[in-house]
This record gives sequence, C-alpha cells and structure tokens, in this order.
Amino acid sequence: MEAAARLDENAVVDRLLARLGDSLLLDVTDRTMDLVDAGVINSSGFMTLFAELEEEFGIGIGAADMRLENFRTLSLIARFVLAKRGAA
Amino acid sequence: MTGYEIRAATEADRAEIVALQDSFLGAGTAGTASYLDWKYRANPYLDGRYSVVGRKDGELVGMVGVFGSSWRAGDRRLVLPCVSETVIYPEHRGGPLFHLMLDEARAMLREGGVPWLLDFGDQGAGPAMLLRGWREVGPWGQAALRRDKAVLTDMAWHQRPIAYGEASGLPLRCLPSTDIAAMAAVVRRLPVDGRLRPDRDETYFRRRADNPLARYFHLVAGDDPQGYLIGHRSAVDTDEGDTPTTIVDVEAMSDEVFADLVRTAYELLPGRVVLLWTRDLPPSRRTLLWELGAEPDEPVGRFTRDKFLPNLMIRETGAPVPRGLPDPDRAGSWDMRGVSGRAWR
Repeated sequence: MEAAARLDENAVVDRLLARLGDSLLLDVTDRTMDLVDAGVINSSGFMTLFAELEEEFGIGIGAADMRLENFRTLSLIARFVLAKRGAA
Repeated sequence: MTGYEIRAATEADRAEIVALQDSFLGAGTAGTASYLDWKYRANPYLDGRYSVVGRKDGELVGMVGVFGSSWRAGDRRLVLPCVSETVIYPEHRGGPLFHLMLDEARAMLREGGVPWLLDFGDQGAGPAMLLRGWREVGPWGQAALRRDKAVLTDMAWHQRPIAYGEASGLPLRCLPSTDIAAMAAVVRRLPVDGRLRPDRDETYFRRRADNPLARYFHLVAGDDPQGYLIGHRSAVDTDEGDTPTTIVDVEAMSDEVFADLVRTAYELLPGRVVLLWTRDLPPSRRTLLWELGAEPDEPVGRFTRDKFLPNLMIRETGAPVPRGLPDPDRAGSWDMRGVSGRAWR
C-alpha cells in the first residue's frame, strides 16, 4: 500500500514502458505522442494494453471507460490509471 | 493516405476471398467456397452486397463480410446485416485496415437505407470498436458443462435408440437432420413479446441446416413435438478438439421437456465442453442447468475477462431508423434465443 500511495503519473508511465516498451509501445517517442493516430495501438492492441494495465495496477477496465481521451497518450493513460485506483 | 483500396466485394474477388478465408477457416478451398456460398450467395435475406474487401498494391489483403439475418419485433419483420468473416492477412494487421473496411460497410449500408450493423463476434477488437462509436448490448452469461474427457461419437447420431424423458415421459428422438416443420411449429406455439427476436420460421431452420461447415445434432421431444434441441460442432474440428460444442437452440413447452432435452444432450453431445447461452432462460431452467452439472459463466465488467463471453455490438449507419421498434441499445430489447455465435451456427 505504501508503494501505491507514492504512485504518480511519472511512475505509471515508467512502469508501463517497462512492461510494454519492447512490444506494444515499441515506437513511442514521448508521453504526449498520440498513440491512436500514430497507429501504435490498433484494434487488438487495446486488449493487450488493458490486460497489462489490469495486472500491473490492479484496476478493472470495462465499457464505461471506453473514451479515447483515456488512452490517446501515455500521460492520459497514466491519469486514467490513477483515477481508477483512486476510485477503487 | 493509407495506400489501401477499400470497396465492395465483387464476383471478381472470389478466388482471393476464398484463399483469404481458408487461411482462417482451414476447411480447404472447396469447403471454404461452399461455406461462403451458403453464408452469402444463398442467404435468403440479404446477399453479400455489403461485404467489403481491402487491397494493397492490387492484392486482396483483408475482408469484412456482411451477411443478412431475419428478425421480428412483434409482427414486424426486418432484415439486419451482421459483420462476419473479418480476416486480415497478418502483415496488414495492426493498421487502419479493419476500421477502414468497417466504415466502408457502414457507408454502403447507409446508402442502401439500412439503419444498423450488428456484430456478434470480434471480441478482441471490441474495445477499439467501442472507442469508435460502436455500442455493446452484452456481454451475457452462459452455462458451461465441462467434462474430464471428451465424449466421442461412437455411432451415427440418428441411430441412437429412442429414449424416454424421466421428467416428461416423452420419447426423445435423435434425428438425422433438421425437422424443419416440427421445429418451426414449436416456435409458433411459444409466447411472443415485442422484443427483437430471430425470425425462426421454416426458412430459418432450412438455412441453418444447410451450413456446410457445421455438424448438427438434432433432438426432438414427443410425437407431436413439445420441444427440440440443436447442438453444433464445427465440421473442421474433431470430437476431441478444442472448440466447444454449443447448444445453439433449445425450445420446450414445459420445464420438464426442457430438462429432458438438456439432460440427454449433456449425456450424448460430443466434445469436452458444452455451452448454452443463459440470458433468455427463466430462473427455473437456469437452476436445472446447475443441477445437471453445468457452471455459470457470467460477465464481470472487464474486457479482458468478458471477451470470452457472447456479446452483441451495434452501430447505426446513419440511415433513418424505422419508428416503433424497440430501442436496440437496451439489452432487454433483444431475445437472443436461437442466435448462438458470430457465424449464426
């Protein structure tokens, strides 16, 4: 729980890149890059991303979360994760 | 510019479409061609005119099929197109092709005055579709009977002796094929409401029975049929293979007849896992499934878990929506009995 309390946007991005930097997020240049327009995350890639987010951060992702604003960039994903954890 | 040419599938695409689909189905060229003919050309509701292909440098690299299905809401009949046979060659996955083809199908449907496009599958792409304006009516639960070892077919289905139901006392017959008249007659005796439901008439049963890549197992209760059950396995898998056996349709005039049909099916149907959608079953019949050893598999609200469950996604095309129909966005507007799986198995 101590680690969870210290989690911030930078930490979420770092952990995400550590998990997916060699695969799904291979071509990501910075945390504000538009992952959708750049084609980094495609149709099946979202499911991969969600599986990793759920496992790494202990959150659940469902239909109510399906807004592109939540997943367009690493920064937005990090904010989404923090919001989900805060709401849990 | 994506470099893809996206357009309606035509007869000139046929050979390449068969090759593409066979890379997914594995039924061989003749089997795949036969299946596609059944699904689209011979479809009594809507031919394949809204199917879309994607080409790159002249080569066919992807396809989204759109086939027709017939529904009723009260006394009104409507044909709804469904996405199926979505296949993209591996080197073209991960790009915009899938959504480009879906968007083209929607545009053609809008031009044709068709208001909705359905999709019963593509669970892996579900989140991306929701992000692009699709909505989901499901997912919903199913009952899974899991056996330690697969039941194997040891004789022709229709050569099994007549059994008598322990609850109803009715004779239970394993038929060699669909008894179209009897099954449609049972459906006509069922109470109906205003929900959108498959139009299970003679045409429907005949069409389903003609699927060349399906193995069906038909069971009828009573001489004056009081119920029927249709089990399905893929014709390109063995009894011991990984694909589940699905009870795609079961109707009974009483809980006793339902119990006898499902009990017999659980005993005889081949395969290791037998699935049955539960969303439109009354509590008494669900309880019976658990008593017979099936386990409930219900949605939990997470894509990563629920992607294995049945679902329906829907998208407006922009064409005018007929008045007086149930709201398709509401799960309660749909009666899914007889609809089991993306391929209308």
